[in-house]
Amino acid sequence: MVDINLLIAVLENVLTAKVLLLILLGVTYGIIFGVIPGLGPPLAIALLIPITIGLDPVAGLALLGAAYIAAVYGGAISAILLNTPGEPTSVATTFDGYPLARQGKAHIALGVSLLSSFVGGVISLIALVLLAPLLADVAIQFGAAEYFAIGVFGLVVIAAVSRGALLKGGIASVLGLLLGFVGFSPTTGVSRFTFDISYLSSGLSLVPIVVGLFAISEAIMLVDQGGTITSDSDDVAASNGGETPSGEISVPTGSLVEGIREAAKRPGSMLRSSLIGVGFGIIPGVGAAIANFVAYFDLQSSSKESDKFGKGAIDGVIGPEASNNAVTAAALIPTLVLAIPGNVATTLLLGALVFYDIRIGPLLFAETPELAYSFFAAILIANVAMFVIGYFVSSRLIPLTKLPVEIIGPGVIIMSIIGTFALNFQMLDSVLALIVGTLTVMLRKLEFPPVNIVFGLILAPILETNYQRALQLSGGEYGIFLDPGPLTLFALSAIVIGYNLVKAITGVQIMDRVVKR
Amino acid sequence: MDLQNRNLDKRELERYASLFAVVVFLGLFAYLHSLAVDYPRRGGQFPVLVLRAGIFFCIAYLVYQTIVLQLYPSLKRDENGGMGEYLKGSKSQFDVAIRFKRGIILLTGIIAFYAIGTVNLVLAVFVCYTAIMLALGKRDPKLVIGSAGGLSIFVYLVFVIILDVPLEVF
Repeated sequence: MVDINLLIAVLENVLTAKVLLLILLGVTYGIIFGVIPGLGPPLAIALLIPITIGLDPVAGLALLGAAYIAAVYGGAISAILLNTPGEPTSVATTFDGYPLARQGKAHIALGVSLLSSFVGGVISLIALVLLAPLLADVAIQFGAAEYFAIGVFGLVVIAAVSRGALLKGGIASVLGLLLGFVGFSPTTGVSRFTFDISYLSSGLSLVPIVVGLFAISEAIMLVDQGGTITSDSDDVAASNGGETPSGEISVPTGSLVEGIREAAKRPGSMLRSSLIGVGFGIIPGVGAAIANFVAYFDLQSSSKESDKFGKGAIDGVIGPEASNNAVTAAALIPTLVLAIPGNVATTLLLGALVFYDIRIGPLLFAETPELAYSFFAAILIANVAMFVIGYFVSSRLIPLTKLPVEIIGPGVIIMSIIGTFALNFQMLDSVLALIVGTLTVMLRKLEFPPVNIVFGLILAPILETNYQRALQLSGGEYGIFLDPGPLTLFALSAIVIGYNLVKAITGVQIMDRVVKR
Repeated sequence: MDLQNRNLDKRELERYASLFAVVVFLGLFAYLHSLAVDYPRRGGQFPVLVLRAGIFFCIAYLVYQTIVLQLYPSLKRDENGGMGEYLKGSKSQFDVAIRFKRGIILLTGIIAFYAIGTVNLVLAVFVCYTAIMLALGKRDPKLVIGSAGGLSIFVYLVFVIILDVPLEVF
């Protein structure tokens, strides 16, 4: 039953010129922070918090919420145009978004991403409003063994999407996990793999490594290739003495509306991926990073055209984009209902809520329903604003793919250096990004997938903490991992592995028959 | 035919390079394993598990490449396709000497950027970005100056004004 008085109060709170203007500013600002390598939602929110101190709670939270969802979406723009995800949550978007951009179909990829992000955001918001207390109850049932099993499931899914390179993917995942072990152990405090280097003692930051793995390696490879992002280098004549060819585009281009239409033709894909985003978003800490890969894997394995994945499949953009934006509001569910933030960005939002003296927890909806629902309404408006502003911003950025790589490559490297430096004001962070970027070029040439490295790095502390905690709880008995919850997740992992092995073997047999004919 | 042979040679070369890389990783994992087993208070317990998995993957890869593929050559096709082609990027338009030269240009530009950045960040962006573009072969003054100027202004607005990054950076 809708409470009319509450609805009117919420509309009065949100539909003011001040709040609407702040939402527009927040969305624009968030998209810019999402696009720039090294920045992203956490930094976007962190920088806004001091500004919101002078604002009333609704206006302040509207600004923060708008910047949050727009920064998540902004990551997709650079992921598609430059193969540079601003955040780990946009990594899977590069799998098919960037190939589409290289084929001269950046408009389509951006249109698909825009509508998918919008749908994901709205579905997630509906889940937040309708199911928050119920979903939070489910999330709280998860113990250490379940979290460990979810992490393992994530690693398995990553291996599954990096098909054709399963063993190399496994080695890359181990490399990522090892990078995550550098510094003090989260459970025992023992210093590991630091080699007496003080910079390593506090562990390696995620952002410089993500920037190095994706932005810098891509920029170096583009400069090495020549032409433009969209030019088909294979058909271009060899060098003309260091002077770059004009790089005219001979491939057809689509329009953003075309991409939106393509996504609209696939409501089932958007819904499935959004629900996956909601499901994983409510799991604090683990969900956001895994959701986009699981959604990608889900659509890939259920598609009749799974061979097109990794080469520019529309569903390959829908999956990650609908799910990562669905995570945004879903991650607020444990944040608001249980005071357990789902990721760094929601931790900062939680800080802002505490600053405004808002009662977090089950009583939030009982004591301050106007404020809670005004926040949700502001996020809904921000999603609409993101759709409109994102449309115009994306269109303006498409020419980036048509610029010569001599302009794009050095620009991305310079922005990456400054972006990684600005994070902690540490020069070594930017040097780390450059080293990682250079090594990644070699790894990519040998088909070691960089995505596995970043994922290992993200999951290392989660896996280790929950593994140790589960064993502590069980008194060292490994049987705790065979409880129904973790066992179900391990079984799911085994199914994914089995499915991929069967697919790989039968794929080879079919090819054999074709060759024999 | 020549092109086909060249492609085969390239794939073989990449295969040997991959084998070499995996041997290096195997050595690295074994070394780190020897460190991890000595960490006190079970600090190395989980890393040891992961390192053993890494050693297993490396050995499995080496066995697969050196034994299984010799016995069942048809399995080699499984290595093609997927995300590999986009992972490796497109073929370069340049010969090896020019590719090397372009790499050196980038490296020199980055070193110069750090050096000039100690004096003024925005100046470093403008000077180094312009110099790298010119050195890489871009001669259109409107495009070069426009790009460098645009990026410098953007860096000033976002990083210096909003993020409070000092002008004398690094």
